[in-house]
Amino acid sequence: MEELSLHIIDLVENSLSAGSDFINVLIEEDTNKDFILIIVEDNGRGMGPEEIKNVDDPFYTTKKKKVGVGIPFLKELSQLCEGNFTIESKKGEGTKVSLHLKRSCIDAPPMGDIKNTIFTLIASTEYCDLRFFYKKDGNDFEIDTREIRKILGDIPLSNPEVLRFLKAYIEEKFKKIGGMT
Amino acid sequence: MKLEELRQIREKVEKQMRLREGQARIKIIVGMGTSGIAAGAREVLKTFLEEVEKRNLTEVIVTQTGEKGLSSKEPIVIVKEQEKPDIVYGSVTPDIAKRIVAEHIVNGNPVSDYVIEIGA
Repeated sequence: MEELSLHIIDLVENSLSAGSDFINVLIEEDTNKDFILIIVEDNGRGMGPEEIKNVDDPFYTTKKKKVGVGIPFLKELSQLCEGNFTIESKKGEGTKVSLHLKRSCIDAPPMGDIKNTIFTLIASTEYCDLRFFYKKDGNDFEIDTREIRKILGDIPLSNPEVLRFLKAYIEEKFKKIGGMT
Repeated sequence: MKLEELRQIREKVEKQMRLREGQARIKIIVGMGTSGIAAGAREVLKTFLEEVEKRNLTEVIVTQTGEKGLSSKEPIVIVKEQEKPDIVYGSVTPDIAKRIVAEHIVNGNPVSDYVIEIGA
């Protein structure tokens, strides 16, 4: 996957398949301090010490038949890019995955279309709440489906009226922080 | 813009929903496992959301799921409609997503070329 934002989707999907009902995503890019930080934290079923050890193995997965390449790739990437990669997890409590990279590293994939990544995930996550906190060079933007659902009640986030609003809302916030549009 | 503006949208949508007495009639589920994402599922998901918005499809819910175990045919899209069997599409691109909305969701004719499974 050639964009970091696609890896973010992948990490969010991992959290969803762990049965989380809340996922907190923090993304920070800083040009001057030259780093990228991505944290995905969930309240899913979590993993015990044995399972965490297995996560590094590309042939290990709890999902049916699939080979999990996401985590080993990110771990390798963090080594190539003078960063680090950690997974903290507790059975029954949740998992926190953190990736830290040197932003100018030539092996680091570009962040990619982070705006649309946030929009599509926010609009299509039916049974789970999501919070995104995106910070770029000191300016930040936050969106939280718990807040949105509190206002919307039973109306789905993929209702056309809601979609129009969310798209414009995210667009405007991104413009303000000077993120990629 | 403020999230509070959603309150007016809620009132408007609730009024519309009362008129039709309906909830969502059709669910479009996009497979977003690792291989699905690598094969372009994000763009497909985005296209569905855009089409729902453009065509004002108030009876459709767009959502996503993890791996479905058919990685050679990712991105996978499942269309669930009340009282009808689930239709599973494979190798969906944004263009095919547009056809699924126009032909299947709006006109009721599944895009048979890309159907890979008909479920219960």
